[in-house]
Amino acid sequence: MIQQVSDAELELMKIIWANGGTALYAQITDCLKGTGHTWQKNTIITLLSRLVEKGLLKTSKIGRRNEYIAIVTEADYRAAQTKTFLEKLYDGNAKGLVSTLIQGEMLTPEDYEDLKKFWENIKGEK
Amino acid sequence: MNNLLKIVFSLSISGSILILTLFLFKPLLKTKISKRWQYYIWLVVIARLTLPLSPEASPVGSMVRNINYKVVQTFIQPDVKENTNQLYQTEIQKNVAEINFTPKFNTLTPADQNYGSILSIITENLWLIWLTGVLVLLTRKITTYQGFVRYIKTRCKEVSDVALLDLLASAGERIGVKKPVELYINPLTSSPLLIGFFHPCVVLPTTELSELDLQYTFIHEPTHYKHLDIFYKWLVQVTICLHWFNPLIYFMGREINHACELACDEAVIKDLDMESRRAYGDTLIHAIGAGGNYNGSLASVTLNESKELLKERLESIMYYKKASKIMIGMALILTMAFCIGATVSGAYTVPGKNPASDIVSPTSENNDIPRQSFIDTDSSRTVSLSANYCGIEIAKTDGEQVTFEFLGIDNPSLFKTKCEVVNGILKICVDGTAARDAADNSSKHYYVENGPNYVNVVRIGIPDKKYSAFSISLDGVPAVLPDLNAPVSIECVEGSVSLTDTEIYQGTYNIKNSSGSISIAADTISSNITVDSHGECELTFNQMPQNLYLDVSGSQGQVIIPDGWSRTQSMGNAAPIIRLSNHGFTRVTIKK
Repeated sequence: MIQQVSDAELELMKIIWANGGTALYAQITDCLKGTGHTWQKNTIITLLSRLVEKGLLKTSKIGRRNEYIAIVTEADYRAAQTKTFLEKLYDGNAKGLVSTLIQGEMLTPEDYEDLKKFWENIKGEK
Repeated sequence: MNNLLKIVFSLSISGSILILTLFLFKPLLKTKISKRWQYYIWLVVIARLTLPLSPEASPVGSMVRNINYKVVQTFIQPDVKENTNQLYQTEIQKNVAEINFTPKFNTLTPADQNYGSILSIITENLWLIWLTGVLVLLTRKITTYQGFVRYIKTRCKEVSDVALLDLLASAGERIGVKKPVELYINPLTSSPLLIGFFHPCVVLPTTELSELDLQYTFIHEPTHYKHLDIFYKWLVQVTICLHWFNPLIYFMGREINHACELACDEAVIKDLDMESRRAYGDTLIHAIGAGGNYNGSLASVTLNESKELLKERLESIMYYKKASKIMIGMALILTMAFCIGATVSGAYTVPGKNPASDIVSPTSENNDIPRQSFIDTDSSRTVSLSANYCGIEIAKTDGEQVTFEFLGIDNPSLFKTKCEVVNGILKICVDGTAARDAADNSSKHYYVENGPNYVNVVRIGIPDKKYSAFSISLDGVPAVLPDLNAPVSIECVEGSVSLTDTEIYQGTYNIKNSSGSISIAADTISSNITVDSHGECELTFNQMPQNLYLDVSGSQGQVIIPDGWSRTQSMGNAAPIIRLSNHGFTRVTIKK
């Protein structure tokens, strides 16, 4: 069970994931500047330490610098979050979710075709 | 009274004097001196209340000593007086020369001893009551605090609004708090607060506050962390626990809590303009009304009291003036004066004497002040002790000090005491010649008596340790000594020597007396003793000895030995060897 994280914390996780699962504090702040965030140093440290406490990150010292290492991969996190979401909103019924996506035109016909091919491929392999 | 308790008691008295001084001067200094000074000056009081360090002779130290003696005296004195008269009479009838040496022991009646022992049982165990109080209070405080923190934490939600976190981070940067401060929200707290010794954490009752209120709260609370207030608060709490019997301590606790907030406010507003100060005052008012209240806080105050405190805080915010250079100077001088006061008032330190002797030694009022003490840390020293015209009593003490105590002496200044190291030998001299001369002039009979009714006796406290040699030379004076851990040699001219202890086992004794009396008494003796004297010689076993080689064959005159003993009596493994060569009256007795 992966604990819920806030939007700001997720933002930091994404940076670390994008960086290959590990990032130094300096790398994180550089990325944040790139996305237009001007968070205070201690704000970032507070958020990172909350992520450590929630079990999504761990730290290791490189000299005097802290390196943050993701314990949970992005795919795992997405899967877990989607599962929670599915349970909460669709009582675990994935078909309902897909139909909502199609009805809301969040899934374009091209996407749908792609997915179908992807599905046929997997089926063929088995 | 137990020494530990005496120390605590004296610290309490000393501290109380300082507390009262600060309260007395508070109205004078309140608006004149920085709140920070008014907050931290209490640290001096806390140091005085907790550190049992004291100059050699301090008013509080000797006060506690005196109280101690008076308590003992009031209970024993009346009965002893009768004894004294009797003794005086018998002594006068005997009409012995100029100096009358008569060591007396155990002249207290059994009833006196019972009275004394009940009293001593109570006073000796008083420390247990004190200690129980300390532990109970401390445990309660710690569990209350833990409960409070747990309560706050379990119902806490972390604030994920980055804007708020940023506000807190920049406030921390402004006041110089480097550590990241965690931010929680808990609707059940009564007002914003800070928890955590090492990981500061601000807990807000609500985030529905104006940005200005939030900003000031974010400066105020981390300032507490910067001032290390939580450590200070716990220091105060521990001190309160130690001195729980002292009502003044609770006033001090309250005062420090107030001073803490005032000092914090001062730190927040000192760089603000009038407008911002008003806004800060508003923040304080708003903080009161926001949220529920939990009444388990260590530092929680009742509503009424907090209203009073708030008034005072608002006043100080509005009337804040930057300290002038003169006031800074004043503050420095006051601090120094206060520190000196704290040091001088002093405390009771374990004196160089046997605490047990307190119970059976009624002494006249002002004579128990050690006039001189000498610290000797040499591990095994040779000691040479001499006495003239005054009785001496040697007592073993726990400390490293040689102390002198005057027993039954009206004018201690007539007695010279000296203690010095000459060629590696510790020389101790006591001399009452001046007192003898004074007594002659006033045609008073100069008189020396040891035992429970001391007259002209100096008690010499000797560190209880091993000595490589201990020599005592006496000229016409009585001496009382316990078992000393040394080869002891005693030479006296017309003196009396009394060696008594429950057990004589540490030293070896060589006693020479040209004329006078020697008395040796103990439950068990396992030290070798040689006596060579003219006069009276008494050896008393309070219990039947198991091992002994007693040789009284060298004695002339009347020799009384227990029935069935020979003049060279050997028992058990024939040790220790006790040789009594006395010309005069010799007696060996077994009490049981």
